Amino acid sequence: MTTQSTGQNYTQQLQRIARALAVANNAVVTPDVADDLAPDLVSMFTDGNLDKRFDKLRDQVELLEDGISNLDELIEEYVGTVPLAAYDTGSSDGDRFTQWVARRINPTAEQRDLLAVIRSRYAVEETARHNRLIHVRFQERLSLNERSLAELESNDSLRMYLNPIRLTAHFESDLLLGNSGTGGADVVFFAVGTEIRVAVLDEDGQHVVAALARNDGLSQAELSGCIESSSGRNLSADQLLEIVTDTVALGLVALA
Amino acid sequence: MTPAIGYAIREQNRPILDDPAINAAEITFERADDPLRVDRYVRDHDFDLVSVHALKLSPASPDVPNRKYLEALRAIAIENGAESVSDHLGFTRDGDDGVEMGHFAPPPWTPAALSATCRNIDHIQEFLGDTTFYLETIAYLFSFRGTLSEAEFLKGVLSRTGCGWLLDVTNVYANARNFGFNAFDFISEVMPHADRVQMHLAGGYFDDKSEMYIDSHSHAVPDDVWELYRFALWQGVGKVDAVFIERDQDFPDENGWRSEVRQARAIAEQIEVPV
Repeated sequence: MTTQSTGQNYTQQLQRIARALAVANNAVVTPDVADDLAPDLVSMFTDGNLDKRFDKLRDQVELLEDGISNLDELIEEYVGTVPLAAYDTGSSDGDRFTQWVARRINPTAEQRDLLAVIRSRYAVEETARHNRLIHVRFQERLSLNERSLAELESNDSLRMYLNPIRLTAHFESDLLLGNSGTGGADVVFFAVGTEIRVAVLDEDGQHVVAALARNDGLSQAELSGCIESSSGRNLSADQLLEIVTDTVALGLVALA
Repeated sequence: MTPAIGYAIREQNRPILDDPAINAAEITFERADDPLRVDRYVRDHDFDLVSVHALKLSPASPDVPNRKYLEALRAIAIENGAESVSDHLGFTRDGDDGVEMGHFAPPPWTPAALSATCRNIDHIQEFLGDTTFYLETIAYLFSFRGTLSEAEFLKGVLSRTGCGWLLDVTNVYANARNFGFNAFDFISEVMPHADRVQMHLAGGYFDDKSEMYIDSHSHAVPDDVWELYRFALWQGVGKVDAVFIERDQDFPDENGWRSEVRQARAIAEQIEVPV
């Protein structure tokens, strides 16, 4: 047998074993295991792995229990039929689970909002992962916010920086909006330290975020000018100060 | 020289990491790799030796670990001042675009698996450069049909790749007890083939139903493992760089954490290099 075909045989053997054990299809590996007592021990191995995956996933998507009554059954079905992908983490498995659930149950608007939270949180994590230095630098700026906030009213030279580790999403229902009766809203998810926060922005708040997204590092006067030129909205100094103070307090904007 | 000694860091043992008996720490990569992290995983501790312990390099897989994972691993090592990286002698997935089993299984002890494992470790070592790679002996519940013994396989890997050996003393104890071989013989057979050694210590329990010793990291290190540890230190005099104790469940109180690491140090300090 050539070295190449030996390597191919090994690849095929491990593919057969790994794909079977990933979903506890243990009978497939019976010819490969070394002793007669092994079937029970193979089951112990796969049961332990699936239990561990179930628990991790349950933690990851705990929020869904507020809107999906048979969540545990769905997780069980998922881990028994959809194997972990190579290099999957708890978060990426959770993200794939939400996509699977969306196809599996034809979710209501409320359920879609819950799924959107899990997916958005994962997307924020991935944004931070791919922009690590930017995340760390912004968090350093945020750590000085409390001191800068006290100067905001009196110091015109302070500049505003929008949290780069963020994404916007749309909630279709009131479920997560405190039953506000608005029938949905745009929300922004963003990272503050190791926490992911979510905020609902009113129209003026959205103008501020949009202006800073286009031109980061604006002073209050520049921000006011940008908002006026792009939306025609003329915010008073007090209105602007209030919005900026709120977004700074949330950790969505940093001052420097 | 006494090896550097410490714990695999868990949130539960952080309060005692300044114990004078501790001068090393092991970081589990999958815990440290929080994309939102701001601080180093070792925080402001200044250990003599830090090692990063990975779970998904899958050295016995048919293909080499992907670059993204290796880069993330290296980033965590650099960030925390680690001088070594380790992972397990086994496979967790079938390939780069394939599936993950959720835990490592031992490779079939065959020449084909040995070739793939050595190629993968060469690749890992080349990528890591000056950061030393250690390969850990795992505890397993079953093994696959093969033509080599585990010791022969491991000796082959150590000799051909020059990587370090992460001798998990408890895993060797568990495998010896479960599969009826002599743990002392296994260590003395393999040790001459390792240039550099790290050790793991942990405690598990005997499961009456399966009649297997389970390496659950849930109990204090048992006396039999301390004895094997002492023997392994003698066998590895001059090349044991570090010893880490692992605990993942049923955590001890502060006194329990401190006394176990002090015992690991006391035993290591009794092993003197003959002058």
